Formats: sequence, C-alpha cells, structure tokens
Amino acid sequence: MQTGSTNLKQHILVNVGCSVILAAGLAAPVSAHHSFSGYDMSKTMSAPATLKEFRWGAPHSMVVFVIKGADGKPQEVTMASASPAALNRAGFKPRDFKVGDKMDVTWNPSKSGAVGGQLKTITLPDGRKFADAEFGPGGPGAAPGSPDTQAQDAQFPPGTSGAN
Amino acid sequence: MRRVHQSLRFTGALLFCAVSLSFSAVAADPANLEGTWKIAAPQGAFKPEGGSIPFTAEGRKHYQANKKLQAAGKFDDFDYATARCASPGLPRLMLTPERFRIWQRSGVIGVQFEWNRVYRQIDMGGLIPQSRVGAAGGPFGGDDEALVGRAIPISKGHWEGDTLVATTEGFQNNTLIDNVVPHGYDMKTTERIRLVSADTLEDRIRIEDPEYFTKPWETVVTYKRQPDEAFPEKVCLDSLPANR
Repeated sequence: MQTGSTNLKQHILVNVGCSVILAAGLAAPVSAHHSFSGYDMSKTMSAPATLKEFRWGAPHSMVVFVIKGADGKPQEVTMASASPAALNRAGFKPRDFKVGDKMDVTWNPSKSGAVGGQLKTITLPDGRKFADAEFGPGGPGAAPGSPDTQAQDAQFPPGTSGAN
Repeated sequence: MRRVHQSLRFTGALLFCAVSLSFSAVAADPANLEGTWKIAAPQGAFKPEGGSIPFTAEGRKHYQANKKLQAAGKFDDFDYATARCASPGLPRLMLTPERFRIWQRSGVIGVQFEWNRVYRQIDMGGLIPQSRVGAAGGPFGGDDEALVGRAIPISKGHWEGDTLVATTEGFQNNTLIDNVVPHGYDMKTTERIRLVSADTLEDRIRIEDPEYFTKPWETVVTYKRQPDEAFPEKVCLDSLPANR
C-alpha cells in the first residue's frame, strides 16, 4: 500500500516488466494447466526445504521454498502445485502447511535451467506425505510408459544431501 | 390510440420506479452512508482501545518478528501488499490513506477503494453466492476459497438502528491487520459503521482471533466526507519501486 516516486527510467522499466508479466499471464492459463513442456518430467530433484510461502490458487498453487543452493547459501525456489480443492481431496488443508516448517520436497525441474519446477511431493514434519496426483505418477504428466515411471532421481544441489 | 399511449407511459413510469428502487435502496435503509470518504488521520496501525493489543504468546512472537522484518525492509517476508501489491485484505484496507466510495444498493453494500481499484462487498441478504466448482476442479471458485479463505471475504451485514453492522470471517492467514499486526485463519471482525455527523463516518472494529489474541479488542477509525469525484486509474504495480 506504499507508493514510491518514479522517474522516467523506472517508469519505463516497470511498464515493460508489467507488459511481460501481462503477456505471460495471458498465456499462462492454457499452458500452465494443460502443458508440462516446461518441466523435465524425466528427472526428479529432492531437497530438505523450509516453507516460505504458499500462494493458493486454482487450477494451480505456487509454493515458495528455501533450500540450500549450489553455492551453499539459502536459495528461494518456486514450484507449481495443486489447487486447494485437489489438496483437500488428498486429505490436506492449508493449515497443514505452516510457514517456517521444515519439510522434504521433490520436484520435476524446469527445462529452462531455473531452480524450481513442478512439485511432486511434500513430506511434512509429522511424516505425512502429499503426492501431487495431477503431476505425479498416474497424473496426466506421467502417462503410462512415460519417463516419469523411470524417473532419474537427483538431490539438490547435485552430489550433496542438500541439508538446509 | 391515446389510451394506448397513456398505458405505455404509465408502464414506463412503473418500470422506472421499479428499477430505481432495485438499484438504490438508500431510501429504504435506516441510514445513507453513500459518498466518498477519506481517513481523518492517516495511520499505519490501529490504535486499540484500552492501550495495547492483547497478544497471545504466539501472536506476540509473530508481531515481533514482523517488526524486525519491517525495520530491515524485508517486506517480501511478511507484507506482500507493500512488497508486490498483493491485496492488503481486511481490516487493513480500512486504514488506506486514499479515498473509498460507499455504494448502497438493494441487498448489497459496496466499498470501492481508490487504492488499486480494490472492491469490498457487504452482503445485506441480496448477494448471489459465488459459483462452486465441481470435484474435477476448475477456476478458483467457491470450494477453493472456502478452504483457503480470502484477503477480503464477503462480509455479512445488517442494520442496528442507523448503524451498519458488518461481520467478516473466512480469512487467509497471509495478510496483516494493519502494517505489522498478524492474524490467523480464525480471525473474525465485527464493524459498526455509522455517521457521527453528516460529513463524518465512524468504523468501530472489534477483532477476535483466539490464536493471536487473548481476548477481543476494539479500535475506532473516523473518515471525512470528500467530493464525489471520479477516481484516477491508479495501478499499484505501476508505482512499485523498482528496487523492492
């Protein structure tokens, strides 16, 4: 709710940024819900993580974790996940995901090379595990015989336990 | 022919009256709160009656953490409205330093905020419920919102004399009560909104949340009437500092 002074350069930058975001946003509803082309479904990454934010939404929520980056420093990663209704059908409610909690996560990485991607599972501190039915095994992103059934597992960062 | 014209004119007058009555219920309401309003004394925090906010241990822990983050300028860690123009939610919106306009209509009272053109609805018994989504999922609809809550839930309103009483529940837990004070999913607010004079509006807000407060607490905010001018098209993202 705060406003800031803007000079012309900032204004242009912001407007260009907004245009890019808007363009991406207009394209997103179709590609995000029906296409998995942005994720490498043949690979599964895993890491201990700290939940920073759960941006609830439908058809997909976005989850922000802090994991140990390749350089050993904390790194924020954003992953696409399920809608509140889908999580509810799996027996999970928003109150189960507490900001600051430590949990284990697995995900299909983005093809772009950006850290993050499509969330596969979350194991909560109490041991309960949410497996994304839409994107995990059995979901449309893992058709029979697809690479997901023979996923190549990897920890993040590569070669480490990824302790946060 | 003349009789037909008279009949049509009479029917037209009836229709005009019906439309007028259905879209402007002000005359039927006990008070007319319509108009453009602005907070009398801009403030970043609600001032609790009785001196201090009755935090639980959990509430105080979160509050102090937010204070530290605020001092460090780490808004993206606790204040998504300031960091990235997310909805400030209720009741924080009622602290907006910018104007808002109240519309009283049949069955619903609307509050249109100048800030980012955010809109609040108070259901007076005539608001059609939001569509629910099917088991297969779909757009973010009633089922999803019922599970997650809203930043600005639809309030339920009724009149007690000339006071509009608006009760609000079903919040998300990731907005703030004001610039710093946190709340949980179970927050409930009860607002008593009334004219204390022709040009002064008062909102007495009672806040309950057993997770964060040991008992309900109240605060009062007053607003001054403003000219009914058109609001500018202000988009928060357009004025977000590039370095935040």
